Amino acid sequence: MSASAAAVGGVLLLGALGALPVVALVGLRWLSLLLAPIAGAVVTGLAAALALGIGGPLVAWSWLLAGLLALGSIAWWAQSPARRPRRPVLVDRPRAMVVAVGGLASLVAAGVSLRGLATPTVGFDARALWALRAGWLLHDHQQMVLDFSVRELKIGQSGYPPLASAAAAFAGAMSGVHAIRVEVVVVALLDVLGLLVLAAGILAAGRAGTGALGASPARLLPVAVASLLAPAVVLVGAGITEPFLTNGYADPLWSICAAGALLLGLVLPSSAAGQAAAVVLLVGAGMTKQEGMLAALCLLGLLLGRQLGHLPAGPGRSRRLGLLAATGLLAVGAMAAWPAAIAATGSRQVGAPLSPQHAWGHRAHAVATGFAPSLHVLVLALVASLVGGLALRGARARVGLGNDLWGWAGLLAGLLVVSAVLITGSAAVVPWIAGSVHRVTQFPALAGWLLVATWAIVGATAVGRTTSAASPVPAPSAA
Amino acid sequence: MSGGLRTTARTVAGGLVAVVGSVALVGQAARATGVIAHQRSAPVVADARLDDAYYACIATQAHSLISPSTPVRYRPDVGIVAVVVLNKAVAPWMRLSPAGTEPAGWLGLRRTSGPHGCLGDQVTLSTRGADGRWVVRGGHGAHIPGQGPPPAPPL
Repeated sequence: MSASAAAVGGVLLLGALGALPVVALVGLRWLSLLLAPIAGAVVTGLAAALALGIGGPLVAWSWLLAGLLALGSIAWWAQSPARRPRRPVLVDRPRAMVVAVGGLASLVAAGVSLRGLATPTVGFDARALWALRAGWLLHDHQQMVLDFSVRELKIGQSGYPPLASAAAAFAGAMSGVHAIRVEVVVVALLDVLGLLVLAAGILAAGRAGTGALGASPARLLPVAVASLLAPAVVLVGAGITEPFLTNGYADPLWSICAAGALLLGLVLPSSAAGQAAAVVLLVGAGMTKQEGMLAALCLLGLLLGRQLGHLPAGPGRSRRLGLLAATGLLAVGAMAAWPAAIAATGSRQVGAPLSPQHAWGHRAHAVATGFAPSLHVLVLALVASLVGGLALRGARARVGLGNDLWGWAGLLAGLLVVSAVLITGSAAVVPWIAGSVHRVTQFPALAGWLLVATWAIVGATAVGRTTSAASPVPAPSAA
Repeated sequence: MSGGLRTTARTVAGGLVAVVGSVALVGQAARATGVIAHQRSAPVVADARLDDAYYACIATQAHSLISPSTPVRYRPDVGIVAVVVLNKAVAPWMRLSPAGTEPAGWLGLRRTSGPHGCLGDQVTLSTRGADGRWVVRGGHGAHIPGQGPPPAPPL
């Protein structure tokens, strides 16, 4: 079996690990198909923490955890029949057709984005860290602890969160193909699934815009714009993250997952399915890289904060509050599992000395000038937000999108996290930025483009509303 | 502002935001296809192949000296560059000897101009002979002519 076939098979099996819990949380929709392998990778990350902390094979832990989650999902459906998965009802066939066109175009864009895989590039960190640890995670427990703790290997980052390595180790073990290329392809496929989640989010915004416009033919304008922008978002995401998208690095995965969580959890109309999907993506981001974990914790706080604003008054309030608290605790617990295993086994910790405080001003200036060329999109997003905030607030409210400030808060939180690491770290800042700027700015750049895309859809909704008002027609019949 | 004017202003603003945002995104997507295509350009492909061949060569040489069940350590005098090379090619599958136990051998990397170099690097295994003297064996089974490290992959 070739490494690519092993990786594809591995991602399908990751999908099997995550399928039932995702359907239980998100429902029977296309988004679940995209999220299931990412959720499966989260399961392997938890399995890696158990394999390192307690012992036992990673693969056995993965299937055991997936089995328990599947049983939990089935038990939940048995207890709450109303929550059982149902096929969505098609209410507007023309709208569904435009969405399908956007979805197909996004799939083509995803295929184009993976062209880089035809080149056998393996990034420095992919060999020196992510694929290396995938090998370690398949060793017996005594050897695994030794691998993660021996000083002479001189790998300070071996305590980094486990998701990329664990997913690759799972795919390698299930296929019997232990090649570095398996890690590269598995991570690239997860990245592209994440980009397709972004496209699905844009299409959902367009659908919501069209839904807000009643029945005139002009109602299709927002969803048509979304169908144009969804594949564009996939390609833009690939452009931002290449060459790391297809060379085995973990940075695109956390950035794309965090951007997806921002879109689904802070920008799109608030729904239980959207919030659940956002939490899955946040846990994925937090279990992928150290900065992903910090950004995910900030975004989780914002997500819960947005939901606090939607709490109903009356008897259901305390139950919803408890559900929010449990969600937050579960997400934080999942992200904390690996650091706990690292600490419990005395493995190498992630950590570095801080630079002196008097250097922070100079370092902050270096970060700002170093980041600027990668973040031009923020100027465009800011202008769109200002114009939209002044003139299109009503249209945004009709679409049901969250307040734009939630999206900006998420973007800035992620940007501040990576800036703070560079500002307070002790390594020489200019070469550090030069070697990492294209990776650490991926999340804010992606988030900036998502804000631009959502404002474009809101703008189309405003135009469509004027046109609809001029030529009202009967509502479409339900199919 | 009258209702009609306000509606017109909103429509114009909406159209502007929709058109500018869409054009910017589609334009950026077109630029992105160039970035993607660059990964298939001849120099990038050549560098990737050489990098891949180099680490495959190092791994083959290591396999000629040790099996995945042989308990080994790195030579204490091995430099950071050699540690990184061995980590990338050998550490995912090698068995580390636990602290306090005598390893079956000590892995290292040496420069060579002979016929067994991977771009001039050769994996070595140092073992203690029956007479107590150190024996250094060089890895074999793979060779890439030339000198110098492979081209640096993107950081």
